[in-house]
Amino acid sequence: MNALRGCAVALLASSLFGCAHQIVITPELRSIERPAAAPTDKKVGYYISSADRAARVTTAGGGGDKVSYYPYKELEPALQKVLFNVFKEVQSVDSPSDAAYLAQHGIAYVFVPVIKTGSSSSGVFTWMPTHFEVSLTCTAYDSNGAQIWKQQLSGSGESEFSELKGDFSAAARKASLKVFRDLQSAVSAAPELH
Amino acid sequence: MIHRLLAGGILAACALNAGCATVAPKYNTDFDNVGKLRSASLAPTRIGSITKDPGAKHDVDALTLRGGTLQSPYGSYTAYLREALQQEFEGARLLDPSSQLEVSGVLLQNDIDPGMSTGSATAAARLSIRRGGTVVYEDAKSARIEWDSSFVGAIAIPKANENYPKMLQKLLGEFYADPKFLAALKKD
Repeated sequence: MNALRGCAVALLASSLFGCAHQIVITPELRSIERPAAAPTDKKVGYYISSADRAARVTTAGGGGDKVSYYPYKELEPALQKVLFNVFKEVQSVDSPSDAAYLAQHGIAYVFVPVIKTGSSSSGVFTWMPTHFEVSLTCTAYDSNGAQIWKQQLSGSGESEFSELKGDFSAAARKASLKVFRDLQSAVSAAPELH
Repeated sequence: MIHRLLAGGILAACALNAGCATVAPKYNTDFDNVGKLRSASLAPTRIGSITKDPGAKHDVDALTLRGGTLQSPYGSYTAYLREALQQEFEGARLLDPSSQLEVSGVLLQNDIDPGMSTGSATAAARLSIRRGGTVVYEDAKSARIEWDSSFVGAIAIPKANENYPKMLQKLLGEFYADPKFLAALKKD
């Protein structure tokens, strides 16, 4: 009986108080469609530090709860998708400024993302964020480390409970999808990258 | 406070009696897998049918999480596996619906268990490669992943949900790491 009571208390505590619920903010990559133009015949790299990849961020959810996620790790596939859609070859690099490595591997540019996120909820009884924001600053450097392109993008996503009950991360996925679609448009339209 | 208690009660009830239907996340390309395909100088291919093994111990299209069903967003889990193959071959720019090369397969096993402290997902598939109708590769592989879970359904079910596609990514990665699989898809 005591064990049952303990379980019930733990259960209620975990439901009621300040825990950070895990969500995943990766957008549906299928929805970042390849542009009509053939990919540019260049090999490009992208750099995300291991510290950024491991960084877990906690922001507000509903009813006083919080949500946590890994912005760089979970948005890396979207960055890869955009770059694969626009350029012929893409690879992750361990340093954005190792000129010898970049030259040896024929990497023309290195893209470096800086990601910021925020969330909130209009829900009182549910923890899932109904509003999510993603801000992305993406900078491209040439093989000598000189900045050749920079773009700041932001997007927000809104979701109602009817959607969130099937996908707790729906607002976040909408926001990140918008940002990376916009990134693809911006990269495609930048003459200095092609 | 009464409202918070009510909400907690509802969540607690859900945690204990999670008999709801949920939909698994859609598949997302694994770019490590795509890299394996792209670096192997393969010929364009088409993705054929993925069927299920009628003799399987458990129906591969019937996944449950704590008594609730986990539905495929593509209608079935054989369609899910086909979508995964499509996405990764497309990501590698190796998809050609008119190719003489065809990858098809059978989903042999498909299980997910949110567990109490450790969750797990397991799948097995047999993939075949036909070149102009002749089978040039056929093999079965399996993959299993585990993750930290919880007795609370509100935590365990979303975690299981999110991990299902990762297990399929791993399963496809097992095939792409097979030199015989890649050799069968090489350009003439």
